[in-house]
Amino acid sequence: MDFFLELFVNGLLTGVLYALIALGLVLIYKASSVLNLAVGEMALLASFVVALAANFGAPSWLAILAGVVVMVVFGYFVERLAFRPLIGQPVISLIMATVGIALFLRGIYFILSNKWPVYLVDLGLPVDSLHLGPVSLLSSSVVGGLVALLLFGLVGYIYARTRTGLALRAVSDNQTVALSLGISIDHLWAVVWIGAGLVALVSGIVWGQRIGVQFGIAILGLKGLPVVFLGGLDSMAGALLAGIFIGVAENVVAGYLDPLIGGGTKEFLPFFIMLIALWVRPYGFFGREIIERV
Amino acid sequence: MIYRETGVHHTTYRTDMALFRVPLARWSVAGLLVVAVVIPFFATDYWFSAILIPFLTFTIATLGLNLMTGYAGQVSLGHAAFIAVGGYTATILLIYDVPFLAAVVLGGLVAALVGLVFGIPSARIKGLYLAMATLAAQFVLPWAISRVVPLVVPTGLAVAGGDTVYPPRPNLFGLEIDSLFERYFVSLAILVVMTVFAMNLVRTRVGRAWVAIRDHDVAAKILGVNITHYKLLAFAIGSFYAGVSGALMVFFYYGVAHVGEFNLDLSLKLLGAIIIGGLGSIIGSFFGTAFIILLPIFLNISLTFLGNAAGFQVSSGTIAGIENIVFGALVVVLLIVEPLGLAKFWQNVKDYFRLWPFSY
Amino acid sequence: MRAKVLSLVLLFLLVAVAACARGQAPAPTPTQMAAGEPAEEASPTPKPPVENYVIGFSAYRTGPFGRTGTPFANGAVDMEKLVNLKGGVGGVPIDVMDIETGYETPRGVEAYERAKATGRMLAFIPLSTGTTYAVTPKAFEDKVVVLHTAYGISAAADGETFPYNFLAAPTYWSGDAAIIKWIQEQEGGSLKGKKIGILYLDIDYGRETLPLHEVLAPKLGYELLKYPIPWPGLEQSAVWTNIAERDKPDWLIWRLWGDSTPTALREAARVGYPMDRIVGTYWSPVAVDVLAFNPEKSVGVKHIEFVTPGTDFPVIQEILTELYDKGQGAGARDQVGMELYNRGVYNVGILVAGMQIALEEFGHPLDGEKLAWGLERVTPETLKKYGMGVADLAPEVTLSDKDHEGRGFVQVVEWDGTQFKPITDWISGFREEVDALVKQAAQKFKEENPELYQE
Repeated sequence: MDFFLELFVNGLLTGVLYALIALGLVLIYKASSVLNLAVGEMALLASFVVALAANFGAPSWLAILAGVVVMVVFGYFVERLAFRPLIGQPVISLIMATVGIALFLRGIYFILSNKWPVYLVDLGLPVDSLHLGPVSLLSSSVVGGLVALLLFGLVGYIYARTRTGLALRAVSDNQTVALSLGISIDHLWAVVWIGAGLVALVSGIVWGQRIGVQFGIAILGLKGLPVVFLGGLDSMAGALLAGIFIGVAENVVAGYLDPLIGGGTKEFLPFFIMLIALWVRPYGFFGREIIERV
Repeated sequence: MIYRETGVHHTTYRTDMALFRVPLARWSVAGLLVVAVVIPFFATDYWFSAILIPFLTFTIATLGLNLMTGYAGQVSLGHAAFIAVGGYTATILLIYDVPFLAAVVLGGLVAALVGLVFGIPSARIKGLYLAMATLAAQFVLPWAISRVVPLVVPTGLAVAGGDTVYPPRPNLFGLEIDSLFERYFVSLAILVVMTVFAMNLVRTRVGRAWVAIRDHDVAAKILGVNITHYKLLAFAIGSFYAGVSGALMVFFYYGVAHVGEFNLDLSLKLLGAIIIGGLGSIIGSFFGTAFIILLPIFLNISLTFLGNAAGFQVSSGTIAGIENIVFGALVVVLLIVEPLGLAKFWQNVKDYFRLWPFSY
Repeated sequence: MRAKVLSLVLLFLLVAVAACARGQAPAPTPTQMAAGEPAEEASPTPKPPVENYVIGFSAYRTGPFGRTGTPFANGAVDMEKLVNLKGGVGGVPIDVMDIETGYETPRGVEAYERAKATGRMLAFIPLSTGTTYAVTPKAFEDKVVVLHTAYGISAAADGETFPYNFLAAPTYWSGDAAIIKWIQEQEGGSLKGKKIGILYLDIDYGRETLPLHEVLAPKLGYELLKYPIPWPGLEQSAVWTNIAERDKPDWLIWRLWGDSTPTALREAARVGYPMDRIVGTYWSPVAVDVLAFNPEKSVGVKHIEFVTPGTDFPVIQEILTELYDKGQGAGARDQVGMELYNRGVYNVGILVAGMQIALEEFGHPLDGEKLAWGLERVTPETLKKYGMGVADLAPEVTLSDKDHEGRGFVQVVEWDGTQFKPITDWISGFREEVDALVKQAAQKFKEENPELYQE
């Protein structure tokens, strides 16, 4: 039982962090029906900037501010230069455009990290091992999980209670009608991309502190995909729940199954779950169903 | 000299149905084939292994993806996984002494079967969601391969008992296909055959059904097209191409069957190739493949040259970074400037010459 | 519209032509231009017979292993500059063609071909086990040395079966054997009843030593526990929970690489596994990994080395004064002296030693065969004489035409909070078992590749 509990709790923490990545995906999808395959690279860039600033001696708050500035600028320009001209194109072109952006960011990271290698996002958080009963956790992971949850709460609040949130929901519901009601899509898309950039910043900081600033963060972006498809592409609550589910499932199943089948469960389990979800309930736990009957 | 249809009269069904209806088209294709046959006599080893052979083998895969995604509209993010399936199958068959061509074809068929299985969700889901199912294939299949292969391959041929398998030398009708020269020609022959097949396929009922499904599947269904049947066929045929391409890639290009080579990056590159080349166009597949193969090499060489000319040694990491940046930016730029891809550029050129010297 | 189309067509053609032209012959590098002057001053002889000697190098500063590949690549490039500043090899500069390949095998093969196209390639450094396997058959035909220090084909220790593959460093098998030997000593001489876990990245590199352990474990009486980590290994909590709660091995041997290592360090800290019971192979954990996790929490973690880390060596000091103080260093200064960096330096240094030994015998121009001959005559004395200082880094290497490994001596180094420091002398272990495995594997390779041995 102890064994299970430890796997469960650690999976929970990891799952919350997966959900954080998924949040970035959901934000952009809700407003523009684009699946942003560059989430991983955005998080990588953000964590790199913060770590670099800290390396040059900036105090934590300044480093984070630097990250904010970079991501806001990035979000704005990406929307302006890459996505506005692509309005009306088929979805696959938009997805391909995000792939192009991902490669672009990757290149920037390679060049910069070559000249100024950074290792860790060191925000002075403690890296002690906490023991809650039979379960051992890393304190920085717990802090990361809490920050992620806070962010979810914040974004949820913005969506539910502010005018911008209302406009965003309108746009994701029906773009044309929203336009006709005078909502500026351009403006909103910029907001959404900047928001996604900031979410990527938090993801990048949390993950960067967890595994170091490294290329692996970009690959993590892919982990967000099973989460959003399980939870529903346009549902934030879905992303959180699905993230937790996948984190726990991955950890628990791997813990029991890996010794038996020679490892590798973590590689494919999330995607296997996604496959089943797509078959059984394509729109996820909480996604909006598009019903077409012929 | 001028690409015009006037003056070309088709008096038999045969000429009317031909693939190339205009003499200029026939001559230029013939010329291309001549060039393709002559190049190997002048190419260096480097050209073969870095440019020509990958171009030939990757184009087969791109063709398949274009049939599946460009013509039939079934977006696939897992093409590389099907390539892997074909490559491994062919390698294992070759180890068990199955003749080369049979191994390649069987590799394609097994890949087609697997593709079919992953195409089954297409009956229920479409668009982005189907793409995700194929993405799942991209992760699940390599894992499955790496678990199954050690069981099937006789020990010693796989490195450290794992999933890296070295195929024996293939031979065609008793001749060993050993040198780069021979590899080139075998790949060329297979590519030509598969291209002709694809060109014809898209002109038949199957091709028309695919385009109908891509454009508006509900309407197609109403008009009586069995969309499930054709969707599955698209997956099967697209994956067959992938499988054949995989076999050739393992034998002639990589020299080894290694799951790590057939990763998501490759799938995305192939998807990029068809989008940049032109969705739903055979020649677009060629353009797109050339783009993704040549561009990194060209950038690498020209950046080194520029760097040296400017007097400093550009670090290889920086060059790789710039490669990525330029590639990524070009993808976005091309999508904005010409969403229909390089094939549309080519079409514009042809249209220009159709009317030349008049302008309209 | 017309103009746009036409100009685009012209541009395409130009691009194609340029690519063709460039593809044939790489442009001269500044190192050659820089080396031009000292060479003329050093020897008043006429223009050297060869433009330069090329060492192909499949480097990776990007991609999933870029973080760990960068210091190595920088070390090699810096050493190249130093060698050329001192006049190159017999007046002829060397050109380490570092071509970025992101650890991808086909790009590694392309790098090999590109270096070969210069016509002056003597050796190739693949820096990846996959690439090593792919270029080895080519090296047989092209008669070019493949240098894979402490990675690649372990069977290549057998110099008779692999005339052109050189390790000049312990194989993975020698390494793990030495680790077991060292652990045995730590345990008072006997491993009976002990549990030793192997945490490995589930790729060729990681799995390579399992056969050795399967031979040693029953012989020495320890229980072998296997913990495969699927690539990229960023999520390992289940495995570590197993380690901490269920199995509790006495020692852990690590065979990770790249980004999976900081994750493993973090997990070890989380479950409270004692850091000083972790002994890694050459590539994990390395300094950049520890820095990516937490230098203080990792005190006590160890790995084995074939090249001593640190900046206290004349050759490294020279690099600092001649290159970095003058702003000519290839990378970040604080990476100089890291184990990966010193390995890059060693790679170039030992090739240069081989070249100089061959030069004494054959004179210019050199080729791969002659270099192989030269390398087979590397001993601690000749390395000291011709190695331009790298002998300080690896003093116990003895190569011969039968042994391309160098007798497999390693050092155990330990992280003390700021760097890795050696805590043992040069040791090796279980040479019998390792040699038997090498023989077996070499035999197998010969059987599976008969066409390489015809003639």
